[in-house]
Amino acid sequence: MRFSLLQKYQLGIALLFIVSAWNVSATEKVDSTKVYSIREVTVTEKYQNTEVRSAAPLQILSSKEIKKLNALQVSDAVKYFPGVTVKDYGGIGGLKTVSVRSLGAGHTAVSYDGITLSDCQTGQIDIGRFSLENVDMLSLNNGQSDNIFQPARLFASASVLNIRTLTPQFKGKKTFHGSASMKAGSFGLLNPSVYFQKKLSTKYSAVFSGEWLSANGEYPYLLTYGDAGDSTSHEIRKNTDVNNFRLEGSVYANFSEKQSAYLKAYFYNSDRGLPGATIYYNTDNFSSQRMNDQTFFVQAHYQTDFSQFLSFQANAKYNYGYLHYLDTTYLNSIGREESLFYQREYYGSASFLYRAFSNMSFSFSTDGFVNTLDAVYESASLTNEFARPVRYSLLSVVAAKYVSEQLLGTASLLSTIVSEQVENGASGADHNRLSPYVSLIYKPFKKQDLRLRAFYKNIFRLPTFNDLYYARIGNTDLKPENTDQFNFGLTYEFSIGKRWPLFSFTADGYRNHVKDKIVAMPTGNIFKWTMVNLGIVEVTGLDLTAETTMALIDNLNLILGGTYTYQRALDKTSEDSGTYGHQIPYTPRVSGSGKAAIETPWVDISYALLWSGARYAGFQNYAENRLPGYSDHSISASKELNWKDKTLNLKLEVLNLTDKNYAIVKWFPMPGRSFRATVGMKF
Amino acid sequence: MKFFNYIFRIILFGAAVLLLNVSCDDMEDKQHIQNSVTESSVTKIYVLSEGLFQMNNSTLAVYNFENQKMTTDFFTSANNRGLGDTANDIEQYGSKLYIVVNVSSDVEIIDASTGKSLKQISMFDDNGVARQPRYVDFYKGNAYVCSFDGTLARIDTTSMEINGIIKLGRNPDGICVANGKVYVTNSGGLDYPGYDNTVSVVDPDSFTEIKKITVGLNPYKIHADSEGDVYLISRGNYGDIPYKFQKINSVTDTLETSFDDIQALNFTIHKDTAYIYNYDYTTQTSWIKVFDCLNDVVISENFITDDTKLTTPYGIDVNPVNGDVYLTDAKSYTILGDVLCFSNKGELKFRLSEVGLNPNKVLFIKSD
Repeated sequence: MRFSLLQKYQLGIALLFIVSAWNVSATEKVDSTKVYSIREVTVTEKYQNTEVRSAAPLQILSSKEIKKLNALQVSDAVKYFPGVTVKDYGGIGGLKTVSVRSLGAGHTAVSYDGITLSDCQTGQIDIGRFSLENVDMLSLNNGQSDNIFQPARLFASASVLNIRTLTPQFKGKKTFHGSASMKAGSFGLLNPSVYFQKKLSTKYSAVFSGEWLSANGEYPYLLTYGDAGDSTSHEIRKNTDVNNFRLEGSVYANFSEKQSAYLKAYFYNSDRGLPGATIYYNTDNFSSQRMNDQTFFVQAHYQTDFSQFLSFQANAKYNYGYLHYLDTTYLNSIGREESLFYQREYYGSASFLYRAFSNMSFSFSTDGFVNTLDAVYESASLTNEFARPVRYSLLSVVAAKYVSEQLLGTASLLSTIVSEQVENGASGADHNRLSPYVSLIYKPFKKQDLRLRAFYKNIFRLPTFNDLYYARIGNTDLKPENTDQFNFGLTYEFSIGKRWPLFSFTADGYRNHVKDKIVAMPTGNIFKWTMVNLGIVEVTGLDLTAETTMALIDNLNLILGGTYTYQRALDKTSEDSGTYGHQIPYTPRVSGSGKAAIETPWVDISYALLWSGARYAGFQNYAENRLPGYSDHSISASKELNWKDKTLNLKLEVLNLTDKNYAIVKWFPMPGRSFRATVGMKF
Repeated sequence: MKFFNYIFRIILFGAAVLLLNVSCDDMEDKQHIQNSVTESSVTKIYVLSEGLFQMNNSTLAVYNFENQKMTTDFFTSANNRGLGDTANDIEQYGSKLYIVVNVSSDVEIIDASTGKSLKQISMFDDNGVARQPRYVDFYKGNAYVCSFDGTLARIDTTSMEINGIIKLGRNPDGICVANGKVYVTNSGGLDYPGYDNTVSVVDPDSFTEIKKITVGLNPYKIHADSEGDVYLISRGNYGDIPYKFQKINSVTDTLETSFDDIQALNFTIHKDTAYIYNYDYTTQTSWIKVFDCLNDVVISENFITDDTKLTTPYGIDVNPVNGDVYLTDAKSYTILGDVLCFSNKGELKFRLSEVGLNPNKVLFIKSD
């Protein structure tokens, strides 16, 4: 492949499905080819190429691939990335957070169309709330992206999960198209959605997406009162109902070849029960805890090329989050525990990219944002005592990138300045830190697609507002949790003719070091826990991925893929702690995923597997804390029917085939075998 | 046939990955620290451990001094089911043990020698809301169980049925019997910062509350001495109002003395000697005092006379046969705790390591 001068600088996110790419040659079906036109990126290539050419590990799932994973929510799909642990409390409404390479959920940033989602209160994003309905691509960067032209905040976490929604694409003279779908399934699942795109003029187009999801979520499970062989009882998960509503609208503008923008508004409302742990002899335990949360944000993006050498982008966002928690069985005198939280974020970012030399580019980004949290509790005195923190953050990053035929390297230095103010009590410390990053990927042989890569990143996560100010448990003396990541890997890909157009393989060994880990400890009494900086964790791991596509016979394609992760995540806090050298909780030593799909002209069959070794639900690696490993198999059959320019999609999924109520989080059983049917229409 | 060659390679690769998955799980359970100790005054001790909230890992361990054998999951092995979540109290009455399990909201009555459950009494109100029982004491053939929902339940120890429930104050958190009356501390612990500050006095014959005595804020553990004096801890507000050791006169049912300089967290009384300890969560230091209940004076400011260090004292009990003092150490609350046995001179006799998660109570059994 020959790159133009401009293209030579960058290899960013570009996307073309393996299978569709191959179909292009086979059947000339151009419509399934998608190209991301992030300005820095002009290279169109198979995304596996992007994965194997990335200096820091990058995993990508296209919407078509996601469909093969029998996934409903973003969290379902993310589980297939190597090195990822999704903490899933089970059921549609259960909290799902993503931890990458044993660093903890607070170290993973989640971006939505290029702008970071934030939850300053908990520091982690519930990725179960994001639908896959309008998602075009999910990607996960370990360390950070090779793309240096992006907001500073995307440089400021140990890993980044990117959610990209579908962008306007119009074929021929068509100015309006869309889709509608209806999903129905076990445990009362109903999920209608609509999506459409409208070309408003040559420059403007609009996208609208809406969805409603409801389920009673009452699934049966087997409760074992001890180990295998001990008593069991058949129970039904209670207080699991979910009622989610999402509305999303965007306007995209392409003012010229060199100038583009979008404006997006997003609203999400979720009303759900919070099923507690399954407590022996009290399985209805806490079955009256309710949660209502709302998210509203508006975000805008503008990008322009001032010249061949200089590009600029600006991003802005306003985010409002509301959360209402209510427990009407709390044994205090007014008979309820209730809290309301209001979060706001005001965010602005500006970035410049300067292509100084043919091989070298530099970027500078600066982000400023303000986060606030307000709370109302059932008790007036608690409400009056609440800190009402305001956090001011200024992130600035300078980055450089070098690209040649055989070498790609990036380096960045991030400055974080944080200042915090509160209305009541002490405030968390101000922070002023510098965080370096370097990455390199080298292709030693011109004719072999074999690459060696490495990165180093030092970054931290700030204590969250909950860590600092949560009633009765907050601790304003907390320091940030610091991480160092080292990664060495190799990537390889080849293709052999038409029959075997792709084989890609990546292997990455890594070493992570976490210092000042923020953990909860009881103080005052057993009811009064507080957050403290205690803990050193050393993670030594290996991530392997492999993917291949084969044409068995004409019109019959086989796609196989798998990931494997080995993680030795050991507590190294202190030798006499009783946990020294023990694997940290909820981190399997080995885990993996697999997928297989057969595409035929008649029907597509997909099989997906998630697999995890044993984990420990406690801090000590003792038998009583052991949580057995599990495997989750799912299978689906789907069929597309075309009529003129309309397409009817039919899909039937069987999830958790083996019907085992395995647990990812102890005492939060996962649903057993379930079914889901989808009818979709594209017009 | 080049194509099949590739297929073969892929299958090989798949097999290799699978093999990797199966064979590389080198995560093996580590073994508890075990120690062998001897003691002749009793045949065995039971150690109740709370476990962690919402983890269903309360345990009843037994250490048999005759064969030096520790069974950490004694209840589970005797009953093929776990004890449940947050077991707060265990007491012996005749040949039965009463275990109060707070979050599972039940009282397990087990045979004191076999550990077999004789009855599991679920404690829920008419609306199905868990009462959350906390502590138990006995009087004239009845067990009295105070629960966090503000109630006191009376259980007939022969029929093992609840035969009465009355309403007391907010979030009861301690119980004892003195002078023919039942005393229950009302902590109001869930009403932070507006805690309760009363002790309910219950007449067991009429099973009615006859008085509420005003004591310090947030009262907790309560025990009586041989003279019928009732001692208690009030925990204050964990802020400007400190812990206090206090005394109620059970004849007049009034608060008689506040020992303001004894800012303690927990205590027990054996033969009119109180062993009182405190643990300062901020400085992570603790002390144990010895207190003479007859003369109401501290007789030792530092019970431990050797250089034994406790991390986090969590429970204190005295061997009724020889007066040895057993302290449980919860360490960091998230790892298994120890039981330490001190002679009444304050010298460490032995340590039983890694008995359970948050051990809070030791019971002494002498079989014939």
